[in-house]
Amino acid sequence: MSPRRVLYVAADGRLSIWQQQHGRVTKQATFDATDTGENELRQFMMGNRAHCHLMLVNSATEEVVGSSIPKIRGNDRKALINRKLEQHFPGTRLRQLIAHSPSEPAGKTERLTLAAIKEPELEQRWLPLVSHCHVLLEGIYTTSQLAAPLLKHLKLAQRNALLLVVQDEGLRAVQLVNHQPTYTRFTSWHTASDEEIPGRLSVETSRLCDYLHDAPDSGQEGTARIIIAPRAVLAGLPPPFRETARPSPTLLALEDVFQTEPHDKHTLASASEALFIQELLHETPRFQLGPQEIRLPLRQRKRELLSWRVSTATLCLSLIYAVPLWHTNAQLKTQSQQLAFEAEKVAQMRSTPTAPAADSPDDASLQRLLGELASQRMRGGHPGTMLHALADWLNENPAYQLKHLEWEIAPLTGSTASSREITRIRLEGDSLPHESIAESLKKSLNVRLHQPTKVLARQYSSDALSRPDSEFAIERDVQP
Amino acid sequence: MRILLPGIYPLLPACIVMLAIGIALQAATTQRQSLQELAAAQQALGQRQSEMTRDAQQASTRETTLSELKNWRAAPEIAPWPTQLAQIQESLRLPGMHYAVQEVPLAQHTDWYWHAIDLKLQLSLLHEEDLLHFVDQLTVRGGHRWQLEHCYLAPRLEEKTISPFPLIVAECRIRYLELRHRV
Repeated sequence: MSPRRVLYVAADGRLSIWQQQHGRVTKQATFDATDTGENELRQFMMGNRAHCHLMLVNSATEEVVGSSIPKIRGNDRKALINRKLEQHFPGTRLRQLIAHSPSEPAGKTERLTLAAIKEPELEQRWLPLVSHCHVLLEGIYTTSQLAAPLLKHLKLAQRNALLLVVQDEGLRAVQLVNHQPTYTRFTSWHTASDEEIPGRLSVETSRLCDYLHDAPDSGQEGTARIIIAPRAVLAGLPPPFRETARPSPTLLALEDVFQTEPHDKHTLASASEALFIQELLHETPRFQLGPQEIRLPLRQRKRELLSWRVSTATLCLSLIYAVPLWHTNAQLKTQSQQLAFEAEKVAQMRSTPTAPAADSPDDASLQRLLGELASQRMRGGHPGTMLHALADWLNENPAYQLKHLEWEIAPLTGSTASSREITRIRLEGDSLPHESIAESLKKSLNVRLHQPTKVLARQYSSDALSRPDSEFAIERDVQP
Repeated sequence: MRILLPGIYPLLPACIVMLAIGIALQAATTQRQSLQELAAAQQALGQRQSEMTRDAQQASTRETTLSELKNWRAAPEIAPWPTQLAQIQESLRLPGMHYAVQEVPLAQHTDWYWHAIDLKLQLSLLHEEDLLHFVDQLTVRGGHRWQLEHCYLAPRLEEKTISPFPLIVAECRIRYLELRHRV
């Protein structure tokens, strides 16, 4: 939201617009209380809708009254305050409780400060226009509300004080009791010349002191008098004023307070206004006098602003969430494309037929050749194992001699991995119990060859002219 | 913007929120799709690679088989079979060796075929072990080309006489196998 501005309504009905820039408040524009000024303000506001405004009213019609109510809370208190407002300021729209405090530390009553403004220019001209232009108005405040914060800011805070500020149009007087405004008055000297102002200030101050001294519950004991005026006005005060007024008033030169240049007449004339405006921007009072409906545009604007902030934050969060995901997605897509490319390349490599070398058979021929080779290898073998086993048996049985041996190998019917080795031997010996030799031979071969072996007795012969002999067939399966 | 879009302006924050939600949902959906695509691509690549590995294994097996088969072809370092037999007879000092040759027609309907030569071999031996030495020498000189199919071993009739001739005779049937290529 743009910087806050102050709509200052002067005692003569003029409205000026102030804005704080670089720590100093400056006047942006002034509009007279005429139809022309009203149109000018309307045009000005049409182009400055974004600013939030505070309205400060320095009206001669401002009234401040003190009142007491029992210490109650909630709606009863609100109703009682409204009844008090109606009682003190009947028929006035711009009225409000501006301060409250307990009458005593343990008291059963509460002291209220009620204020009201009956400025016709404000109610009939400026407020309708502000409402029509949907100006973002935070509230309507009075100079009397700013007296206590101003003194605190000037390090002149007193429990009871009478603040007198000389302004361009007149004198603003605010009485503070227990730091709360209890009385305010604006004395206009618009028609007075510069030379007459010190005298009128002196007279007005004396009158106020007398009036407030006679007023009940005015708290005059120990009341500090603080006068803020241009240095020229303070220098022109008559000596009797300085000497007789008791206690001695604190005189503050406006140039010192606001730090204006003495030769800058325009700034000096507006300095008293700027003093209050700066205080308003610095420490805005809690209570405002305007009706609640004048704050509707501001509330609506705040709601809009909140919704914009929420939506913007949501958008930022979603972007914070989404941007890394998008980045990751891009990487994932790149990886996927690379993988797909590699897969395609592999598929192409695989689908490319590898032509067999010129001196190599193709796959079909290779399979056929392997099959033929396997069948051929089933036809051959080595008799060494069997012959060594037989030689060992013959060495263990020297009574028998080998007459002849026939060894052959042939593919085993129904098998593609084994062949049958058949060894036929003919033994010659003196005594030949035929079956026992076969059994002995079988046992010996089984042990030596580590596999079952069949020993079949095939033939036995014996005659008188030769030694008896026996023929055996030994069968076993071998894997070429 | 409030002046330019008086009707839409109050709805803009809601539109922005919906846009933000849409962006987040789109990002999440896109990421899920990307992850699925990546998983599919990884799976496809893995499948291709496994197929490639299988092909490579098959090719390796084929190469091994081919190199094994090449040993069966007539190689310069392997002497012709008659030379091998003569060298064996000389190295073992065999007194006698006779053989009869018969070429065996195997399947020859393709460029690559097996060629077999059957030999009926008669050896004169001084000792039975010479037969085993002979078979061992066949393997040493001709590899697996030689296949001993049948063998008959018996002493000569003259064994009881004192003679310089061999005492044992062996009759064997062996086959010499060779891989040939019809050019």
